[in-house]
Amino acid sequence: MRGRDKLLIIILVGVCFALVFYRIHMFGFSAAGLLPQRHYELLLNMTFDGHDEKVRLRVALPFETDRQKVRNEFFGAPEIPFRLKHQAGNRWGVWERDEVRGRHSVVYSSMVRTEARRFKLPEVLPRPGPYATELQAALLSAKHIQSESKDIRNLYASLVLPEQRDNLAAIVRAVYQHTQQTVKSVKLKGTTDALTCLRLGEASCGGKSRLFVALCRTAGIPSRLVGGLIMKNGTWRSSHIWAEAWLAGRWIPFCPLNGYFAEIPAHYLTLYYGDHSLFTHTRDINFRYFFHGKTVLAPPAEALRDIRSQPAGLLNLWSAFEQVRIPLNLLKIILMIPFGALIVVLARNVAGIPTFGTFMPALLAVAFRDTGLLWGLILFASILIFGGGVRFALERFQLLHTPRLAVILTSTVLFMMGVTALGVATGQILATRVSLFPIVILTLTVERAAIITEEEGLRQAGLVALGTMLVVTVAYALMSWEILQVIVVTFPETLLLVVAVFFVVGRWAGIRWSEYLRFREFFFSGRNPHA
Amino acid sequence: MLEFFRRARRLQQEILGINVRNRDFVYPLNHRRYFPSVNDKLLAKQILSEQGLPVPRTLWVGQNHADLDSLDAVLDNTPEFVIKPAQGSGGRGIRIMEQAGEGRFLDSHASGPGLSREDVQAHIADILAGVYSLEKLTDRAYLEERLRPDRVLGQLTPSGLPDIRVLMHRGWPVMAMARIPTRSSGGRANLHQGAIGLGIEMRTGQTTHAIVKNKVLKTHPDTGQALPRVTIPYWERILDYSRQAAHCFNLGYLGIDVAIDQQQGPLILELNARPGLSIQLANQQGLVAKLYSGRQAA
Ligand SMILES: Nc1ncnc2c1ncn2[C@@H]1O[C@H](COP(=O)(O)OP(=O)(O)OP(=O)(O)O)[C@@H](O)[C@H]1O
Repeated sequence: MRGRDKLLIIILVGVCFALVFYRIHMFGFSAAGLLPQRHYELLLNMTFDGHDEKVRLRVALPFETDRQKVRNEFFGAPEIPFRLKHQAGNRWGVWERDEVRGRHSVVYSSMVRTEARRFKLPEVLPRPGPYATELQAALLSAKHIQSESKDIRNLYASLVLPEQRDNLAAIVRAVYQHTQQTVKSVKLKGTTDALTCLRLGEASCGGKSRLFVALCRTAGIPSRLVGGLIMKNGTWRSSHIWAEAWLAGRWIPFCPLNGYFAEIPAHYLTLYYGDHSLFTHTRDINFRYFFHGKTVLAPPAEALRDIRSQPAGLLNLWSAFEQVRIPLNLLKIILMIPFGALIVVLARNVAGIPTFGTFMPALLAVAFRDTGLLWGLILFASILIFGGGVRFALERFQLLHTPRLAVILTSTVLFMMGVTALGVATGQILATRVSLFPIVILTLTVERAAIITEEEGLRQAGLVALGTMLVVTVAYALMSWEILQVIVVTFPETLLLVVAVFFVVGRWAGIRWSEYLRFREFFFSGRNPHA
Repeated sequence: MLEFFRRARRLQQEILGINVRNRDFVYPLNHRRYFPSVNDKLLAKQILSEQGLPVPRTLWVGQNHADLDSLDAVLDNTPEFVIKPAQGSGGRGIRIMEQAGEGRFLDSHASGPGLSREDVQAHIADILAGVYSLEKLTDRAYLEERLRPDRVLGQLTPSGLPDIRVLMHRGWPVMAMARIPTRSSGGRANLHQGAIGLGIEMRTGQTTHAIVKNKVLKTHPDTGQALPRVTIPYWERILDYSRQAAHCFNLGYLGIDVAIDQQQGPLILELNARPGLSIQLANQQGLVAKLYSGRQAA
């Protein structure tokens, strides 16, 4: 590396750190309190058909707890009156109207933030005095939680030795152990009550949690069911049930299905307490629904409140972008693109992995954010195959270059329309999210792939396609790495470091990995050809 | 394992990789401004023949569709010819044709019923529209006399014209390789399509090792017979032409392709401003030592 390269790299790194340092000091923001955090965009979509009769729909909606924040709520149902009902700590959204006709859809969306909580139970937890009246209900036997039944009492007696029955910690440990391990985990439809769960010896989340609660109540520990969602990226339909027990003066979470003891993970969203249904609705209305979740980075809610008090801080940068309709999340995507390019540069110049087009993999990785990695790859591969077929069929017409590309582009558009339509028809909502897939880039890729197939054979084209997918996957992983996202959104000057890496690779004189493979026979016959 | 690292180290020290080729040779020695003079084969041929260097005869040049009118006369009077795009590379768009009577033409390296006069014109129209030149949107097409391989190199290939790649660094030949078309390369002498690369000893013009697609081999992939070692005919003259040709272009790192015709002897086919690196495999010799040692062989 020459002197001027080194100098430039040192300047880039220096400026980057100077800027970070300067901003931390001058604006004195306590970085921790302002760092963007992972939120989920939650969408609940419900449809039903009315038959000129009254329709009532009740849904549990998320609320704020010490580990859960909800904002930007939206309740959408143009023609159905909506109200919120608060009841025993739960928050129900109720849509209700007389004489409903035809198909209606109801949408709820919000941005939620949930944190993990983990509690440490002491070895010995003695029974406290009498419980407060509010907790009395959490001790009673109920329809699906038959804590008074003989079988459950017997089970309790066999699980917990008499001398341990005054140590609440030992009791919940034994109860958890049984419901988590001894009871097998299976997928069951409908409601499994505690007794059924005991008899079957197997259950899903609801049955296991009900048995857990029933055993706790038998033991005289106030306990309750908790209903909610396991948040993720994508679309899903199933909800989740876990349990809480009142220990040491507070509700402690347990999930016997997924194995969380005195712990609740960050992606659990609480929707209601008690043995309720997530949805209750009038019969025979052909009710359908799905949840859609997406992780986004957003500044913490507290930080947004005092945005004005920060004269030139980072939040104002964000809010400036918000004003020109670039929300933080989009800003994040834009700022992460150079990292996609970084992976491409390393893949090409250091590893020597062949890819279609130079920055195609980085752009694809951006597009995959909407479809998810797996579906993105599947879609990419099927478009390549489909486009390749079209291009092959076009061969005999000997079209000129640009019109031929345009035909491939149009068929790609039609193909994606088809995928979307298919998705809608089969209830796979995934496909509706491919709308922003980079059609033009894909078209060029199809053309590139066809040329490679023609000149170097299908095998080579397949290899390049695999190389592309590999690079896309790595770029995708790096670009969705949350810690990095937070750093870059907070300190965009870190991109200078990326530029520094580009300079290092740009002057790098090493042998590419692929060249080790290519020249592997270099030593084949020794050095002397005449030997 | 240790052996593996030892080899990897030696490879690092001796082999010229793409990164270094571009960084230390192509970028500093080949100014982009002079690329067109070699990328356009017609331009290159013109420069070469002005310097009195032998190139295959050009029979016809077309720049736009109107020029196709003058094509008929040439087609009628030429028993065999080669169609080429001026700015193609990697053998793309090249068709080697011979008259089959009744206004039809046979592609010497493809089976099938051959092409009609209209097909030939359509192919040329494609070339003019830039279908075979990756970066440009239009191109020129030309017909060239068909060369016939000489006896020595011709015996190595069932069909097609072998050529000799001489790698030039600052006007000096540093390494050379003969490229022999095979059946799987479709009669074209392009290595990535499966042509054989034969290393050549610079001093004597004797062939040394043989490779196909990065693999060293001992027998001919088409016939299965042992590859004989041959001495390239006109070797001194080929090196001499290469030196003179390198002199005509302002490029310090250059691949020169020379074909040997039965009757005319060596002719310069074309030049390449980003010559490939497989030549090292064919010679079982790294370029690093040769390029950095200052003075070259031959
Ligand atoms: N005049 C000719 N007569 C017969 N065969 C020819 C003629 N010109 C070219 N060929 C054949 O076509 C092959 C490709 O030609 P040429 O090297 O000009 O093409 P190219 O596309 O520039 O390839 P590259 O860039 O890889 O060298 C030659 O190796 C030779 O086998």
